[in-house]
Amino acid sequence: MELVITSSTKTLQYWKQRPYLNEETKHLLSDVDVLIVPDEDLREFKTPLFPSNMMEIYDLLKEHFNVEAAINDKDYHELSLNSKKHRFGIYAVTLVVAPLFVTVLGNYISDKLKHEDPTDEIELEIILDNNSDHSKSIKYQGTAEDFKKVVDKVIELSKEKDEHRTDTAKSASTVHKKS
Amino acid sequence: MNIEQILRNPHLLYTKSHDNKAIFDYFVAKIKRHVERDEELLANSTAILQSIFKIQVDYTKVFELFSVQKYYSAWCLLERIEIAIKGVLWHYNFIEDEYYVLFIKEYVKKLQGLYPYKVFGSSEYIKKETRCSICDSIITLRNRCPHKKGELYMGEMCTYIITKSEMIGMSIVDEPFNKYSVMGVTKDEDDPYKYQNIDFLLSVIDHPFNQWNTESYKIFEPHSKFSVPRNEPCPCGSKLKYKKCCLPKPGVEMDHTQFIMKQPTMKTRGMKPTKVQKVTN
Repeated sequence: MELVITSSTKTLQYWKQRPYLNEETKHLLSDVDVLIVPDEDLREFKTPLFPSNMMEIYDLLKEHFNVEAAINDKDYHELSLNSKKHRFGIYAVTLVVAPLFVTVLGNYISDKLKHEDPTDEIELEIILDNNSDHSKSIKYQGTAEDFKKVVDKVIELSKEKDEHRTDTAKSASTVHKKS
Repeated sequence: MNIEQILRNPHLLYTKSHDNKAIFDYFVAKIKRHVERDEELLANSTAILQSIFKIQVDYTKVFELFSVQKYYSAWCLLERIEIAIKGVLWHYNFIEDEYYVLFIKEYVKKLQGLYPYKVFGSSEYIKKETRCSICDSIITLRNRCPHKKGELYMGEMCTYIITKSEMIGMSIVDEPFNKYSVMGVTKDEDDPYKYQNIDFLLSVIDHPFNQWNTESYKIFEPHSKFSVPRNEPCPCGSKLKYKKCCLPKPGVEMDHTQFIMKQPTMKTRGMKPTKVQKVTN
């Protein structure tokens, strides 16, 4: 199992302004909480690509969130790699919805793979956006059962950011009192 | 025709007690009648039973293919059975595995484990255009027809058909999604592999629904069995020189599979009830 957390400059705002997006699509993305983003760096291909069956996940997420994909409709293409690894894509999500998002995604993964080999590997990335210049990227590669570690980590990271904002608010009120 | 009785006794398929074509024709006619009467739920449930019957027939056919040494064809059929079972399980919850679908699922996996295949080709392609199999509409991310992939509509399962694609490469993998792409074989006639495990299984079971298991481990085969010079590759298959690999050991280390029958069969009559002869690979 691999769970890699890194800082990233690829925030929600970054993905909403990609050069291959037309104005109509940019307008669709303006208020989303969850953005499904493509893989832009797949080998030599310049075309942004999504993993197989991403449409199914898009439909599921639409039932719970204000979700969109960072791609024009006519440019949406899936890459089918056909090895046994299950690829679930890349998501940029706001901190507010992140805990619910990973829970919904985790339930989907569990249900989707219930008839598969439990040792099958899954791969995905979640980008946590806290409305600043940086985001946190969580890359996971491991079994469906171990995905709960991702859920725990996202909830932990969401709370960390919340605590930081609370402390900042307290400092501000303290400053206000002193003056 | 008592379909319930037929589906609950799939082992009779092996004895050719049924006219399979007549049963398939029965299902087709029944679905057609339900569709004409706009009875979608009944059409769908009949389609599921039809799929289950096909799974049972195909599973039996695997053993017919084994018996005429068409192992690669049997392998491809095992994969199609796997896919069909996924489709059935999506729509049907079994209480007691009354139609042996879960049994077949378990034993398809066991049979696949008996094959010597280690390396597969995995195709890579970009899906450029996808259409609905029910209404032929082009599917895009934000514009869809009302049909959902995997759901049944008047007895027909909705699938997404890739009508335009761009092949971009091929990978060599050990765990493929498409199992038919075995490296080194494309048809039974040019198959270079050996299938001792499957041949042995056929020699101890009476029919496809006998229950069995396997245990795999390493054993030492006596050096006297091999006439391999010391500086040649070791017979164990490690590619190391014999003198650096198994020659210093008590014997040549070989993979070994033991078959364990849950109940004795006619073919194992007289042998110990739980273990049968061993197969060294």
